[in-house]
Amino acid sequence: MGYHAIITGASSGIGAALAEVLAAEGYAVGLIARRAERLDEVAERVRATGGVAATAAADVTDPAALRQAIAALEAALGPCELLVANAGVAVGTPMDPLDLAHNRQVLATNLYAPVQAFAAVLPGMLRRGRGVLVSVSSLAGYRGLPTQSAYCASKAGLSAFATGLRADLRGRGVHVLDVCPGFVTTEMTAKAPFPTPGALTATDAARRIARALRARQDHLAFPWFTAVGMLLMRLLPGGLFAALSRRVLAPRPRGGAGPGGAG
Amino acid sequence: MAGHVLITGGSAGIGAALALELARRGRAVGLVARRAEALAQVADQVRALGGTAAWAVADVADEAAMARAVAELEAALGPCEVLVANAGVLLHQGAAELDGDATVALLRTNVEGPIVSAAAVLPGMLTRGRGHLVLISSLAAFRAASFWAAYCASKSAATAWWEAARAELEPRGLQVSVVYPGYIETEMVRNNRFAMVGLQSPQALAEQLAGLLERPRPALYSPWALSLPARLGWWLPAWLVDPVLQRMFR
Repeated sequence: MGYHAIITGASSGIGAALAEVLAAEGYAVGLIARRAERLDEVAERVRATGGVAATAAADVTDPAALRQAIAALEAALGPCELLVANAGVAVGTPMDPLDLAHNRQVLATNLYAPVQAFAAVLPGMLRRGRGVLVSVSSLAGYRGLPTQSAYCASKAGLSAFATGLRADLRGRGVHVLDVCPGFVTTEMTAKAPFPTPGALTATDAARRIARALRARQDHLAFPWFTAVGMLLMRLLPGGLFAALSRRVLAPRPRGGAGPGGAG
Repeated sequence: MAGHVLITGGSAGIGAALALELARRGRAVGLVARRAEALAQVADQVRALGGTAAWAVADVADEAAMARAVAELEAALGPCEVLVANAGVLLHQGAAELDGDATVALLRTNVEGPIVSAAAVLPGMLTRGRGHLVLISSLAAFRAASFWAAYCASKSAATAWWEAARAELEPRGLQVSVVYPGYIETEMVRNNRFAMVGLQSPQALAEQLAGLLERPRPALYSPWALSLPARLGWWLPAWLVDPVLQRMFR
């Protein structure tokens, strides 16, 4: 049996694609998500191609359930050598009306859950002097975008947390890869009320992550044109950025012409 | 000017210093924090300077408590014209001691706290078509340092939220500012054993903040010179920065 890789949010999107890609590379994959049936389908696909997979259904925003799921997968597949904190939600959180429950849900899933997942596996990795932590963050974390306040905050926080852990883990055998994708065609982006230019497939995204893991990269941002765009956004002074981002992210009918109203 | 400046974390450090500075400049201050005794002390100091102050006890991440606090302060002092989301905590924690629950508790205070505070004052500001939201972030928002991963993550996250808020609220007549202080001599940094470059007194920062309230602008970096390496750090690769950070924050 190969190294054990645990992936959260493995029932669909990048997580499900990554399960298949990592299994094909010889990892035994431990899959966590809320939807047990969807998880089993992904596990079946992995096994159909000769891979090893186990599943544990859990809501990652429940720290006790998450720890229990990780423990169950470690009991089945051995110590976790690679943890991919991939589970995430995208819910628009505009300022007016400001919905605190939505803000909290996004932060809990995209930021608090990865912190809890890292905390659950890190002691074992440090004891063994070996391990890899992967944060699936987003290019949206490079700058706060209108109507996406909580999503951008959660991703900026996740990337910063991964970056901080890496600085402390340097030389102790545990590697940290922070992944910042642009748009990837998944259930998440299917609901986006704005255009998603240059969207990649989930499989393409998963292959890029696997390649970055093999190369032991610290940071992975893709596709390059979205990354460059967000880096430029980051360079803009606050006022100019605010004006520009309002235009770019103005809600409009998908595939429609012309910018719609901002309300 | 009618109305007041609401300061969270107003019982000590930057918040208390700002309250006193604003009192000297004739602005009424509403103070929110968890410790009643410390709040009452700061309010007394404000009044001793001839200023106007009221206070309310609340945990900034507690929605109901914050709504109650804002209602009390607005009843006493008039509408909240400026929110200074200043309450924050720090956690010194190496990766080997990474405690998930403690880290999430810090994130709740430093990220949800400013969001809950903004939620409590925004409806009134939007109705009046006027208001100023100020986040006390940190130069640590730019580059996560070892041992401070949780704090850096919280400041990064809160800053991104505030930037998103600016884009939406400026067209509605509101001002939105992010303040990036370096090291300020408060209880928070008392246990730092490393050299704190560019250390400032809370009073020095409070004077700059009072200036920001008089002339709102998107960002205040303090000290500006220290912000250059901090901001540059975000762009540099880990292999270049991490060994430096590791040595600096041992």
